Amino acid sequence: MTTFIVRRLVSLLLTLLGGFTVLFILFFALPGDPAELMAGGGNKNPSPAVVAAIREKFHLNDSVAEQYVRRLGETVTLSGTSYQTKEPVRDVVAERLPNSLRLAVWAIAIEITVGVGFGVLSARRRNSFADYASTLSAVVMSAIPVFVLAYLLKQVTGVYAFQHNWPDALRLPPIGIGPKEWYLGFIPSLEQLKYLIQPAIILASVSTAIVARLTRTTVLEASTMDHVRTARSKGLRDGEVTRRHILRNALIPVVTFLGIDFGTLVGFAVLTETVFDWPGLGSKVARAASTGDLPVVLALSMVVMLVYGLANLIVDVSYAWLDPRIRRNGGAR
Amino acid sequence: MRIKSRNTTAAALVAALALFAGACGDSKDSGDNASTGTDSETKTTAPASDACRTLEYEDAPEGGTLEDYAQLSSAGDNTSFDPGAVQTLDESQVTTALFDGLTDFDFTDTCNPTIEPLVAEKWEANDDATEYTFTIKKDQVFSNGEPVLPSSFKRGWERSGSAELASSYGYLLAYVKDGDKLLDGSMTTLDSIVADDDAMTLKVTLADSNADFPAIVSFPAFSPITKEDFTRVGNTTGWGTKGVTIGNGPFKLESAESPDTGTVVLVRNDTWAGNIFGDKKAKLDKIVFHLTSEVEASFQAFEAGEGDTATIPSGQFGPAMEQYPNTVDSAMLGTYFFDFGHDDSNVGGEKNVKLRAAISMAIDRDEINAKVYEGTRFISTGITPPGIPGFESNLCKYCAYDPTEAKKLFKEWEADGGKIEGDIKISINSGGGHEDVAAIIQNNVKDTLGISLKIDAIEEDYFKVIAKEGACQICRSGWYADYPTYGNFMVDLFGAVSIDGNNLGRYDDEKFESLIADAQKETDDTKRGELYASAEKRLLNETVNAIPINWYTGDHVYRDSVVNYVQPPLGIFLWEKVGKNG
Repeated sequence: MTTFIVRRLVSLLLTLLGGFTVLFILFFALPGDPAELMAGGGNKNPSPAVVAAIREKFHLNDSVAEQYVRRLGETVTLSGTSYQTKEPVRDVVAERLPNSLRLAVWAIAIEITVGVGFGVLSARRRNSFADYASTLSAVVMSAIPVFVLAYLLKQVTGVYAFQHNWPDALRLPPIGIGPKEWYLGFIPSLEQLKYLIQPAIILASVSTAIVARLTRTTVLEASTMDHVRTARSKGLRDGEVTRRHILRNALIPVVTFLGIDFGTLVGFAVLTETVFDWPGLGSKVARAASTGDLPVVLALSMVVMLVYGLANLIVDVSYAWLDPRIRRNGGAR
Repeated sequence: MRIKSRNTTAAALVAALALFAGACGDSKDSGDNASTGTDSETKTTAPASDACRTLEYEDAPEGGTLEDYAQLSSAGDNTSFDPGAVQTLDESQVTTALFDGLTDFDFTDTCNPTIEPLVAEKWEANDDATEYTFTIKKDQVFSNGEPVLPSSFKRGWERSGSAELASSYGYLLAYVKDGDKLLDGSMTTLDSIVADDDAMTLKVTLADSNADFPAIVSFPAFSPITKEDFTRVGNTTGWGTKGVTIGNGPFKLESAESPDTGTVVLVRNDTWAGNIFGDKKAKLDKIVFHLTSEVEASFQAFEAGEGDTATIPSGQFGPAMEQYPNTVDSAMLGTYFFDFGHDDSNVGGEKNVKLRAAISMAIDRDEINAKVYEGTRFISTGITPPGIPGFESNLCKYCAYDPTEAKKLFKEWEADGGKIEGDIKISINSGGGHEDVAAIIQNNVKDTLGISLKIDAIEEDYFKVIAKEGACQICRSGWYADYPTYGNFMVDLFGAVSIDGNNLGRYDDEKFESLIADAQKETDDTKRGELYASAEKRLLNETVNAIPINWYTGDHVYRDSVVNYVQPPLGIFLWEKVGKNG
């Protein structure tokens, strides 16, 4: 298992280097001059002298290879500075990464409890009203664009609730990050929960529907396996069969999906972050990319890729726990 | 000064949903006055009566916190509220609450603003307006206790114009002798700015005659800065404490989170010396500027009971104006127009004057105002808006919608040998409803003249892209006055000195240049206004190089409990007067 983990970590480092190189080259290939960006000027094109001074100061006249090495060092140590806002990227990461992680963790928690729960329910009560209802809900949730769903939700819990004098406890703030009251890093205070709940639900909405459908399918498949029939014939209770013999098999593809999804939720929750004004990584990367803010794009992209890689590594390791056959065969696939 | 383009990818759909939600709401939300469509009432001309108003302030209660969601509601674009680097009207709201300059304007009668000394006690100019001596009031201090001295201004001005800071507004320092050398980095201090802290005088020698200079120094780039801040940040800047923040204004900075999230919190500055109206103390204890990622989200938060102010998103003016007190009727010193590319082979040059006049007369400005701006703006009859000293009503000959006259001019142009080769581009910056404006112009011109315009929407860095040589055929522009002078429109938008900058059409006309040069030298206010108006007539009626569309109006809502939320024509609130009941 240790060898496997080390091998995966080395592979992750190579992936990060590859990703960095691709992004760096793409930015050099794209039109636009970072010196002009730094010179500011919504109003006036900066004078050539000013642009030249900035180019010199930020080593933009160096060869591409020299810039690559310098930028790689800055990215690894998070010592770069935003072209646009002059913020140190370390500050950007320190502020935004925890926000993204918290939102993603709670979105995943919703996906697991609601998605897996409804998936199992649908499978166990196949062709029942509950099955049809959860299937329909899944289709609807997957089909509605995230920002529309978010807007409607906020209209109800924010605007309608305020205009119709709902009790304070039932009214939810439409935007913002809240009082930043977290216990053990991830557990929100009651007031904080008011700010977290809506973006977490919206961020989880599409994936929850997918998890529910995936769980239903895999549980149905696993239910027909020989060892499950054997377990039932031995007189084990239904709940125990589901928990010990069906779910452990059925959840492997679900866990794979959740692992990939976690990385996506951390780095690409652009719409949710924008609509709820939740200051995470995704909206910042999107903004930085559109303004050619290379230091921010590189640093945040690397952070997202790292989280993505680590999440997948944890998923791979978790297979061993879920499937005893993998454990017995040495832990690697 | 430009305003940010407030639009997002989701904006259009969200606006549509908001209208739907409004229609489905209770009776207070609905209503018969459709917020869009040609039936909306529009503000057709008559600017002298409609756009002029008297600003009235009541005695607001002291204390309280204002939660603002209106000013920084497009936070992704924020860069700095440092007076040396501030670029947008939104960010300037913070800057002007923190800093006071040498002069300020009294907009009580909005169409007759008067310039008054603020930190200066008085100023004197020589006969040809090339030298100014400002005498600074004694015993004024910054919020950190440092005295406000002539050298505080010299320090601030030289920093604003420094090559290292590379401020968007650094070019204003070029009005000062050798300011261009400051800008290109060949000088770091100017002998033309002499600060005598003992005599409390600041003597400035200009590069050329400029009778508007006392007005120009009211702009934030000419603010004083402290030794403490300059020692800390020098000629660098950034958001919040990455830039200069210690000021001499009615408020001081308590905290600023990152440029695109959180809040900027200002608290009353008890060392403030007062404003030109005799106020010595800000009414509010605190102002919290909330940074939000888009106007739609902050307006929805306002509707859900959050905050005291918000900006009305496009498409929601009707219901918003019905429900909340607002600033929509406040005429701003801002203008929305299109430039013609001066040297473009299809539309530029003397041979195409009649074509340009025909295009301008083919545009139905009322339709634009009704469909895009819900009837909230004033249809313009020139570039320069009412309220600017020297303004002339109905100055433009070719700005009225007249399809018959437009066709006649077009036929005359064709008879003279005029012929269009290839496409004519109408360039706009994406968002902010500009696509809708361009589409109406496209239809108008096609219907009336049979000319096909191709819409060219530019996503990023529009003003830089379009300012380059050959980029503009017909291109959108817009402008909020930095200070209420005619020159701020004519020189900054159409002067040859602004080519590569705000003169997007690269207009360069000898007679126009001569008129604005004469105006800049003229020290008599009335004569100066007449000279600038003559220059504008040359621009619009003789060379026809711009298409005025409308003049801006306010776009904020606020709670009933907010007092004195009055938007003066420059758009900058008098934050010291704003108060809160309850």
